[in-house]
Amino acid sequence: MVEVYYVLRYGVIAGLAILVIGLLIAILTETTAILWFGIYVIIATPLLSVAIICARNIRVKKHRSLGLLALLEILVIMLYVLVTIHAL
Amino acid sequence: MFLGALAIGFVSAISGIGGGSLIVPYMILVLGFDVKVAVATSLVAIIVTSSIAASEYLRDGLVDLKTALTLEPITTVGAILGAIITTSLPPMLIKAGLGFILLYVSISMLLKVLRPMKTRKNITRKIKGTTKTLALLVSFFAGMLSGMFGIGGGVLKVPIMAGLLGLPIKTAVATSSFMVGLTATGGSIVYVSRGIPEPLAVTALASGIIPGAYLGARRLEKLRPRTVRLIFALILLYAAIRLIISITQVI
Repeated sequence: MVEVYYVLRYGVIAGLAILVIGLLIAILTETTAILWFGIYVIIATPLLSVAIICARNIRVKKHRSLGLLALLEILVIMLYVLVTIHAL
Repeated sequence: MFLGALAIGFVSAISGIGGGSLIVPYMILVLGFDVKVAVATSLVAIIVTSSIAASEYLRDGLVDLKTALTLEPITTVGAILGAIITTSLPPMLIKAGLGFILLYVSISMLLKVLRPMKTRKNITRKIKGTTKTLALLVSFFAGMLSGMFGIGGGVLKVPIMAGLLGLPIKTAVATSSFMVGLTATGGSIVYVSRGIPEPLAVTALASGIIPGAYLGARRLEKLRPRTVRLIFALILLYAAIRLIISITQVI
């Protein structure tokens, strides 16, 4: 089973690695798309960790409230994302 | 910028404060970035630092997930709201707000250094409904400050959890660290959706802060944390005064 702390640590490290590769590409080709992708990976990491907490706990009766709180956190952010996409 | 980030990571690891309160003034006053770009870039860099710290705390079982996830949804709403407010405010007002926030942080740090509090032992006490509501309100405010000024908000979250909710200080710090990443995510999404963060600056800052923090943590035993905190508080005080003066000069 995937541990939450692994996801947090290696998620941001992966984001950083993409940023560094993106930096090299930006220097060579002046393209910042990879850099932005790195930023998205970094931003998605904490959300992914909360999604794992949610998925793990929501099915267990004893820990359901924790799973629901994690779901609420994801919904708050998803709501903003959806409203922004809708506005575009 | 990389060297500056290295120094910020070093100092923040020793002083125990997130990098945000140093990154934003460093970017505005030293590197000459626009205040909104500095706030947005700092928030993304904070996600990196707090996630790495939180992963260590999670592994050691120090994070109180129930408290974190009870406070976090409302904190994220605050961060999103704060970021939306900042994107629509004139830069001078954001600078003024940041100046006063840094003034508060530096003075509270100076007071802590000069009059250290006694650490409490693990006290489990029943939490009243009003205390919980107050904690949620302060947490919302902390989120808003984080989204508005690009700081982590740990300076408000730790006292809420340790003081109001009765968590042991180590658990409060670990839980706050986990929450800071999520709060910064909420704020960052607003800025990223408007293309405000500077990707090159994020790369330089994030890749500099982590080795800096690692070096700081390794040198922690050889240095005097109290002296470092005092220097850190004085740097913040200087940054706050410079920000406030820069506004009065414009007016």
